Amino acid sequence: MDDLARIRFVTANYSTLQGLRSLPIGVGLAAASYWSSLQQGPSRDLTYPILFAGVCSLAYWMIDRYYARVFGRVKLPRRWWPGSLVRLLFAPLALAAFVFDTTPQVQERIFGNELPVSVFALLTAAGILFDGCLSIWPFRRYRKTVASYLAIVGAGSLLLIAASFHQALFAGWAAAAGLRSSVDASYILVGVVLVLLGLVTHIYLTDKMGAPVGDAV
Amino acid sequence: MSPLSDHLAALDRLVHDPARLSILTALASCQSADFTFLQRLTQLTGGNLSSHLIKLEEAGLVEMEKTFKDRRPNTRISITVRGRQAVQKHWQQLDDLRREAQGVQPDEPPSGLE
Repeated sequence: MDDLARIRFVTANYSTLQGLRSLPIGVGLAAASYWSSLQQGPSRDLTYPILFAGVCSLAYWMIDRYYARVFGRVKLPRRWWPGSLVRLLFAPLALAAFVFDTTPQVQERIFGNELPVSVFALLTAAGILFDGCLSIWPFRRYRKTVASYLAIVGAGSLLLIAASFHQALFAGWAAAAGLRSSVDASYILVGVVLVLLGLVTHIYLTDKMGAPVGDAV
Repeated sequence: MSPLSDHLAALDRLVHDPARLSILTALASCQSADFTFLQRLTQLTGGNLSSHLIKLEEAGLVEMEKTFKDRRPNTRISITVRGRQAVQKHWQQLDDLRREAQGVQPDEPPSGLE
């Protein structure tokens, strides 16, 4: 029964478990945040952002091919509610959170002073936790199968929540590292956490799928 | 015969084989999967997986579609309505057997054991 639970869980969540996909997103976010933090005022030279986007898209495509070739392809039935709808809403919400984080004037107008937390990091933590719980929910009876995945998702979300408290945690070393603000340090850390989470999820998938099997000669 | 042996006798041998049950379980959780995925997930050799798939296809439990993707042969396998019903019936029978072996009445709720 344990093995059948493993088979059902991995098949139903195959695309979510392809952790390497978050590598270009994490590296891109960290690199873009670092680059923008080094700029003095708004930059008109968009060479680096376009280069980051191009390299990340290429890396994402290569990772897609890697998974198809090494682990195979699975087609899942289309279900719009609730996972796909929430994922669709995440992009505009993340953009709004980014604009909110990087414009202290808006924060001061709404709250009276600058917020000590990054809304983008909190939103990413909530998104990852929600996505993880959604993947686990149909398999909650199979505790042995899903416990380690829940631990990965929980640890990732906690790290992202920690990364959101930029004023309290990163103000000192952001200034020492030459970054413009502690929000930039928070974004770089979100990128690093996404990379780590992706690597650990990939290891989890590799463990659950098992080693490649060759034909006996 | 006792109810336990009745249930054992009623098990579909074609579905009950561990390798074929693994294949059908994976296919019942998705719309379709390719050969590479099934081979990796079930840990069967290519030849072994092929022979099990042929048996399941002959019984009308799965459908296979052979195409070329990126100039490489790609076999996409999906479960049929009959296959889905067969595997669901089999899980139900296994659950009944487990409950009977534990001395639980069939109409009692499952214990939630793995």
